[in-house]
Amino acid sequence: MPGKAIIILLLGFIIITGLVLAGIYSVNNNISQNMTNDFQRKATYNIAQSGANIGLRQLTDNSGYRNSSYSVSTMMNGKVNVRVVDTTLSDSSKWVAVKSTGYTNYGGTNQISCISIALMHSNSIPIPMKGAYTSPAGVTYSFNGGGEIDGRNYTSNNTLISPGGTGTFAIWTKGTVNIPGNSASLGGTANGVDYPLSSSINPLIVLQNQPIPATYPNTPDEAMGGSTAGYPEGTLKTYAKSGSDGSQYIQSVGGSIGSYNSTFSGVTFIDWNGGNLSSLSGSGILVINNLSSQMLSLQIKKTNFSGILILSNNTSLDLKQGGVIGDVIVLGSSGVNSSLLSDNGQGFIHFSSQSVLNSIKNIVSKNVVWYEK
Amino acid sequence: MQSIIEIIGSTIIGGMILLLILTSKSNVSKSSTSQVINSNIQSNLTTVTELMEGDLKNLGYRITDSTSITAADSNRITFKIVNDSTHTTDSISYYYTTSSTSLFRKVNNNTPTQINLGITNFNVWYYDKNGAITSSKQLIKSFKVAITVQDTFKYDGDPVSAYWVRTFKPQNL
Repeated sequence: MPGKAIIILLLGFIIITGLVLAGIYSVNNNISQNMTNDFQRKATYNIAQSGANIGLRQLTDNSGYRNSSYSVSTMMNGKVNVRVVDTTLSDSSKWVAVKSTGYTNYGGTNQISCISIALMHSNSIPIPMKGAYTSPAGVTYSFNGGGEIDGRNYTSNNTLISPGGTGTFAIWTKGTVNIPGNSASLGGTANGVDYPLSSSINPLIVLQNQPIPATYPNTPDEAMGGSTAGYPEGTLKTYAKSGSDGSQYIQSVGGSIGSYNSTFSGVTFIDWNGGNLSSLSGSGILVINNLSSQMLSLQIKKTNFSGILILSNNTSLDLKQGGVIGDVIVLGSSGVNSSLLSDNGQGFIHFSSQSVLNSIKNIVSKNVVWYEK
Repeated sequence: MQSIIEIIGSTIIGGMILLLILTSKSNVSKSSTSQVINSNIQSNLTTVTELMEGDLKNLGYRITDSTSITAADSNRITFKIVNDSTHTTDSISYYYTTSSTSLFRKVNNNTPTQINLGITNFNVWYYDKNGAITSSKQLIKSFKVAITVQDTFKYDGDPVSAYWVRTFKPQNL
């Protein structure tokens, strides 16, 4: 074979090999790119999740933390934007959403983004609570002393908040309200306007003869807003039995109540079927469930209770010198047709959004759900 | 005589060079083809895993605790997710059948979608909160998924395959 032919052959071989090697390089590049992209997606996902966890930590430290604008941080060779907002989902459930968007190669042509959303049930006033005192049909009110039912907003220390306009109605009921004499007084908020205490019944803040909606709560968990608000049936009783935050589950056995800590905290769930209950005091959520056919008479003497008081029907609440700072709601259980609110001394019910939110913050904030895309 | 020896010598050398070229070309071609197949199965694998990860990382979204996973077998996992846009609870299944050697994705009672990307093996192992293997659906806190993808084209008698394994710890479990 002449030398020229060999040179041509070699040149041909080099060209062919070069082309094939270029093809191999291209395929190798695809494989590497595929792996890099996969790794990058995982890294972006981790950045987004870390951002959501940072937002959750902020909320744990401060339940009032809301940051409607994005805050951008650099993290793990990428960027993360975190936003904490109140949101309502399509089923009308209210949540606090921590939305975290993670980026790698931020601003580059091969930028990858990933969103991680952590949802917590919103710590808001339960929807069924329509006034400082909310009750279904068949309720009799008796004001024999100089007490107060005030729907204006108070602090948890029982100080009226000024400027006002953030409270609620004094009383919301299907029944009627009577004030014998003129010593007792009612105040409240309607349409953002505060109405000071007065012995006359102002229909703007004392809502009588109200139609009871089909959704009116029949159980303590429904009074808190039910499953859409983070309280599936049994939540309060389970929490009370857990003993968290001083919670107690108290039950009448053989017609008597055993010993219990009478300064309530956390969630106190009382299944009453006889026995004497001491004057209500303490804080948190107090559920009093009358399982008997007898009227249960509750008294608040010199003590105060701060938080949410949920009463089953057929319960009499007698306010003497102390009162409730927060909110009171009577359940609409069927088969029972009377409940009594009496104010025989200087007792009071003062609506306090602060007390209500304090009582629920440790319960619902533990329900965190995650969504990623 | 001299030129005959030159011709014979150059023919031998030329033949050796030709043999070298042909052998090299064959090796390069084999390598190239193998890389193309590798690239294909890797691409298939990442497609499958991306699809699965998209569903699995939201497993149990807004579902009551301990009820998220409704079926947990070695080659099938079924779980629930609340679909916010339709306000319904969706049941999503991933399962593998040896008869069709295919992975299927099924949403509610809809017709299963066959994921026809050369999957030859699909296995799931379930773990409780302590990391011990469990068969109780209520106790599952994490699970490991292993997938083998194999190219349908056997090159040089050997099928090219890729193996992927990942442990999932969904936040909602």
